[in-house]
Order: sequence, then structure tokens, then C-alpha cells
Amino acid sequence: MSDPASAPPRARWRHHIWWGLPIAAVLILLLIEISAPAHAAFAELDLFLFHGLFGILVSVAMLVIAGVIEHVLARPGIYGDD
Amino acid sequence: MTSLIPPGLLLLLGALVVPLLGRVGRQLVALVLPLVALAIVLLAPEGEALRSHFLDFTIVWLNVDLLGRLFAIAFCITAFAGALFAAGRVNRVEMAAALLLAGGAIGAVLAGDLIAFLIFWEMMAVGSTVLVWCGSTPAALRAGQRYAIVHVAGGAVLMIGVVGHVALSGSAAFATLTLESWPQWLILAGVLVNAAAFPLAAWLPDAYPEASPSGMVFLSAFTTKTAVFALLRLFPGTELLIPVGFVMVLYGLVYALRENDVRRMLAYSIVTQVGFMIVGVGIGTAMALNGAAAHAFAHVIYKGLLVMAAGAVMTMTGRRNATDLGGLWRSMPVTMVCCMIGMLSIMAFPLTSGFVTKSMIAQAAVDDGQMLNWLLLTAASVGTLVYLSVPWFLFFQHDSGLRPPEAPATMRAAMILLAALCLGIGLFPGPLYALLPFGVEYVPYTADHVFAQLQMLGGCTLVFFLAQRYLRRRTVPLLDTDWLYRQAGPRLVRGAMRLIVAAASRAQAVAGSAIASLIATLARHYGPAGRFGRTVPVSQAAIWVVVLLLAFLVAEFA
Repeated sequence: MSDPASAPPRARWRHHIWWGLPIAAVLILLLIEISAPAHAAFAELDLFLFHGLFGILVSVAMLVIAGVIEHVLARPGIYGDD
Repeated sequence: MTSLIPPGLLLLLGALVVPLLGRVGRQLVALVLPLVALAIVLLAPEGEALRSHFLDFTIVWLNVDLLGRLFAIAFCITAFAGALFAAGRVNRVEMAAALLLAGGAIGAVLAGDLIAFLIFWEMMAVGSTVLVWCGSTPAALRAGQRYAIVHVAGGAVLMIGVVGHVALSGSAAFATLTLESWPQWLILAGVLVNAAAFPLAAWLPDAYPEASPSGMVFLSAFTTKTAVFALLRLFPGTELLIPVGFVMVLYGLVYALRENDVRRMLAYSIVTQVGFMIVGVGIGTAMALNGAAAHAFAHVIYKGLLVMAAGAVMTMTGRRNATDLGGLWRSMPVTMVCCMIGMLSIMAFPLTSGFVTKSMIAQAAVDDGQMLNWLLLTAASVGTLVYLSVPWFLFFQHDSGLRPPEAPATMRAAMILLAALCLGIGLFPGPLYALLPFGVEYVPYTADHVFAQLQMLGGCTLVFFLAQRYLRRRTVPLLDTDWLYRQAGPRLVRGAMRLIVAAASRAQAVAGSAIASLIATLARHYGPAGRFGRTVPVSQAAIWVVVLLLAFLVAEFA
């Protein structure tokens, strides 16, 4: 994603929509979670919110691991001309 | 009648014929043969169908069962879609190699014993190596050489294992092995090389991306999935495979997250997905084996789709690095939509094939009380960060300024076919479940499952967009295990050669000096001025002869 501050207005809006969509999706799911007790179909969703938070936490952890790996293993020209 | 025409053999014959044909005939054969093979696979009755005798062995070339049929169907579909994608753009050698690879893979999954399996397996190695070389770049030639070395070594290990197993047990049955003897361990090692198990996984991202756009479609479908099939057939429930699979998942994810080359990114994600399947094989319950088989089937299709999308972009722009691409959705909308469907499938988004297959493995872990494995499998779902990257870098992110035309009609048709299959399997999983080796009671579409998955994907997607600055790709390569044989190995050999040359040179100098010294000594004694070279008078010589004669007589008769 390009830097939104330097992007033209249309691109800036697109930028906001891109990361706004998943936030909206999570909020909608949260709303369903809150209203779950009222619906028989959602009655057994005890760990419902857990999955979203778990996804966020593990994604961040994966980014950290990948960053560390890159810091340790990135070597310019490690493969020479090969 | 069908029993007389093994579908794998049909494609192998096609590989022989294709180089002799003109362009139209070549395309026709490449398109028709997979469809005929698919019809045979679907219609062939279960059981052994073709035998021959070799030395003291009876080789069973064709044995149709549920597991083999499932993989053969997936391979036939991909062979057809790959040929469609490649229509008009590949040379006769590449098409022949693709048919050889496809025929070998279909033959291997329908093989009736270990000997037939081994023969088809080696055919695959030949076909896939030639496919890499058909990338026709210096990098492709070098990558093909490395690929050939790895697969010849893996094939040799497998062959020693099979021969040893047959010699020890007297049986070449293609059935479950228990790792009770050293040949069985060698068979496992040989299969894991082709499955791209860590630390022998680097050959895959090294070689596949160097093939042509259509070549990589074929490569991504057959080799690793045939290895998964072999593990399902030979080593179900082998617990060692669970950690092996998890390491592959983590390795593939981490490296794909830092990779700039989109095709290498896809290659790493193959390792990740195969890791999922191997975990399923290791869990070993009927549900887990069904999950691994179903996931392999779905993966052949959606990974083929993603590789096609990346290949179409590469064909139209000549670029493959994330940093050089972006904003192509404007000019390649059909490719973009197909790529998005492939992405949703690999992310296991509801209504796609990945959703109805991938979760079976995690569910199997829950059913078997393996909660740690379930947690790890769920955690591995953060692959979403990688999978989102593919369409994001190709079609969105910044505007690269590139405005290539849409991919050619045959490419689009192939992508649309696979995209339709991804959605079709996701919407109607029943026919796929009916093909699985064990009875399926799994219901993927429950409110719990759907919303949990949506939450997981939502969380991962949120991180993907909020952490964009940390996901930017750099062009600095990461050290991988292939460094050992690409750099360290050659350096070691060069160092050893230098030592040997130095030692030989020193030995030559010592020997030369010794010989020169010997010649000088001889010259001193036997030369014109030497003791034995001097001219003596005849009388003095005669006296010496008489003395020697007397000495001899005394010694003889005393």
C-alpha cells in the first residue's frame, strides 16, 4: 500500500476502504457475537471471539518471527551470480 | 477394454508422439489425452487390471482404488487445464515433458505395487527436470541441474529402499509400512525428498519459479502431491510426520512472507500446504486421512489457479517481483478475479474448496483429542498473510504504471475453469467427499465453523492491512538450506581440489628431485668419469675375470 499522505484523494479513499473493510467485517462479526445468545444457531459459540483475536495475535507473532528471520538470514549476494 | 489402457500410459505415449506433430496436432493431443485419461479413471472398475512378469516378479501396473482414483482425477483435470493454459505458447519439448510428468504421476498413483510405483516415479523426475530446463534461461539451466541432482539422489534412496524392502520381505505390495527395517526408512526418506520436507525443501522454490509460466503449472501440481499420495498409502498414522509437517508449514510461511518474487512466494506456499497434508497423514485417523487427501485434491486445483494467474501476469508484463508490479486490476480484470478466487480458496474462505477440505484435518485433531496439534493447525492459518500478498502485489498495492492487455483467451479459459472448480467444490462438497477413501460424516457448513473461520480470516486480514509497512518486500535474498549445495558444497569441492592439486604438485616436485638425484648418482658412477664407466686395459679385465672364476670354484666345491 502506498503512503496515503502523499497519495491523491481518490487513492487515499481507496486506501482507507482497503483497511476499513476488515475492521468493518470484524465489527459485524462482533455484533453477531454479542447478539448470539438471542439466536439458537449461535448458542454454542463460546469461543467465538477467540478466533478473531487468535488470528490477530498469531499474525503479529508470525510477522515478528519473519522479521527476526530476515534480520538474521538476509545476506546480500549470498548466492553470488548463481 | 479400459483395463487394457492405463491412463498414465496413455499420457506417456502422448509424450512420445507430441514431438513428432505440428502445432495444431500437438495442442489437440495435449488437450484430448487428459480428458480420455479422466474418462478411463472414472469408468475403470476397482481392482488390479494390468500385470506383467519381470525376472521373478509380477509387476502390477494398474490398480484402481478410491485413493488412487481421487489423485488421478485431480491430475487429469490439472493436465487438461495446464495444456489449455499453455496452448499455442509452448514448444514440443516442453509439452512432451509436461505429458511425461503427468503420465508418470497418474501412473504412480494408480500403480499396483512398489516396483511399478518406482518406475513411474523416476519418469516424473525426468519430465519435471526437462520442464525446469524449458524455462530456457541460464538461471533455469542451473536450477534444473540442481533439481536433477536432488531428485536423482532422492530417487536413488527410494530405489535402494524398495529393493532392500523387497529383498528382505519378499513382497512388493504397495501397502502400509511400519518402519521396522532400514529399507522402509529409506523409502520414507526418498518420498519426503519429493514432498519437499525440511531441510530438503529448498529445491522447490529454487527450481519451480525458473520454469516457464505454463511449466510451473504442471510442476506445482504433480511432484509434491504424488509424494503426499505415497505417504498416505505407505505411512498413514506415522507420528513422526506430524512435526515434519509443522516445520514445513512454518518454514514455508516465514520464507514466503519475506519473498519478493511472486512465483517463489507461491512455491514456498506449496511447501506450507503440503506440510498441512503431511500433518494429516501423521495424525492418521480416517478423518485426518480423508482431510489430507481432500486437501491435496483441492490444492492441486487452487494452487494451479494461482500459479496460472502469476504466470499470466509474467507473460504479459515480463516481470515477477512484487516490487515491480501493482495496479494491474485495471487492465487484467479476469485474471484478477480468478486470482482472488484462488486466494480465497487457499485461505479456506467459506464457499470455496479450501474451506470444505482444509478444516477436516484440524477437525480430525479435535476428534482424536490432539488439542496441541489442533492449536498449531489453527495457528498455521495465519498463512492468510501470505495468501493475501499474491493478488495484493500483483493487482493492487501501488500503481506500477503497467497497463498490459488481458491474458490470451486460452489462458483465461484455463483460469476460469479452475476458478469454477474451486467454487463448485466449495458450494457442493458432496461429490468430492464421495470420492474420499473413507466414509465422510463431516459437515463443513455449521454456524460455528463458518463464523469462527470468518473471524480468524478477519483478524489476519486486519493485521495484513495495518502492518503493510512490515510486509514490504526487499530484494535481499534470505539464506536457505540450498546454500549448502549451491555455495558451500562447490566451495568445499573447489577447496578440496586445490588441496589435491597442491599435494600432487608437491609430490611431483619431490619425485622429480629424487629422480634427478638418482640420475646424478648413476652418472657419477657409470658416467665417462665414474668408477664403473672408466676404460680399463684388457689384461686387467682378464685378471679380474680369473679372480672371480676362482672365487666361484672355491665357493662351489669348498
